[in-house]
Amino acid sequence: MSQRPLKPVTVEQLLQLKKSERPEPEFWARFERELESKRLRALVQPESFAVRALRWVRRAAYVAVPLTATAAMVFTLRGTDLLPAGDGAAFPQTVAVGALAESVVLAAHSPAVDSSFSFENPTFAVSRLDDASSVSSARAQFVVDALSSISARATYEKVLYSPVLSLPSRDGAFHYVAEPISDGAGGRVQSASLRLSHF
Amino acid sequence: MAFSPSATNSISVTSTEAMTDADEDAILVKRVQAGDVAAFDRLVVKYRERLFSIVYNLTSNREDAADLSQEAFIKAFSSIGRFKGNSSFFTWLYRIAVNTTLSQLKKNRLRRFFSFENMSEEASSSEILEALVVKTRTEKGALLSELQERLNEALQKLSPKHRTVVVLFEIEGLSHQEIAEIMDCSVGTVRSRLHYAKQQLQAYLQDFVN
Repeated sequence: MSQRPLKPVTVEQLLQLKKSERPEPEFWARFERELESKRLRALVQPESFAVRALRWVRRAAYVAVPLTATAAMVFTLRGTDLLPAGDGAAFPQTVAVGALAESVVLAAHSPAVDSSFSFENPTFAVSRLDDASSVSSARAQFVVDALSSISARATYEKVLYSPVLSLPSRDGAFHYVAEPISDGAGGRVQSASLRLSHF
Repeated sequence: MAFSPSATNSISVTSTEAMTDADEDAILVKRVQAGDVAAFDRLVVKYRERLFSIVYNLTSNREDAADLSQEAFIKAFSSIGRFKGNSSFFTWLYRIAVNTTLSQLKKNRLRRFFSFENMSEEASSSEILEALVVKTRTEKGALLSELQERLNEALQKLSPKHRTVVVLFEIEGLSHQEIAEIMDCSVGTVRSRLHYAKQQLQAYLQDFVN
């Protein structure tokens, strides 16, 4: 009986054998248990000073940015005579902010808006406002930008953690409600929804 | 879900199935970013075998592979809020796993002995093994064990970066482009590393290779 000629074996073929190395099914049950346990451990582990400091700075920025934005807008409106100074300032200010809040609602529901963004430039709102030649046409965009970021892909449905920001309107009040999202273990708040509710 | 490198490969091609896979990942990622932890568990179940396989072939030790793949999943979970979707989820996840493993290999903190996973039936009935049995006149079981050991040894003799390229291309079936994204280098570098690594393996495995 004649033997078949041996086929040459290549490195690639030998490496293909590695594909068939698999752990037994029980391995995955243990893997999942360990992963879950490590994940919980990671959540309760104390964070380093640097991480805590960074979080504190960010939170401070989240408070400062909307307030700075509102203040900058009020100053600018005063400068362009849209918001008269003196005793009558309170009503126009409320109207302006309420109108802006409505604009944000429209923007938030626009399907053309991309859904990712960041909220990391606390000075942007002021500089953007300074650049705006026509304050009245830039008002809505200003608030939107103040609440999101400089990113061209910004959206207005969600921001990183922000405290509740209440913007009064002419007929009632529009409130930006920051809704914390927990990590499922009652731990760190990583992000929050920005919703515009009409109370 | 059984480990299937071809399934990994299918992600890179533009097929309906691949699109569905990527779309499913994108939906799950969005849900995780919105705070749905259960959605992350689904991603874990979907990718754990492929991720484990990569790390196992990089470390040749199952305990290290389990630890490092779990660490990669935890890192992915804690930083998924920063995942913007510029690359596919699996590329991002693989990058985390590869970087975690390379970092540990660099620190030389991994176990130095090899531990082997079972080779499935398809390996022992493969043509290559049959050919090697005839060539070496060795009993199949013994040959398979020796081959596993020699393959692991040969892989471990490569530098971590060369090993990674070989594992991702030859074993996991990723494209040069995907490997370049994962390793943050050019496609040319991937090709060159692969070429050099195969030459090295050829030399280390000359008893088996014609």
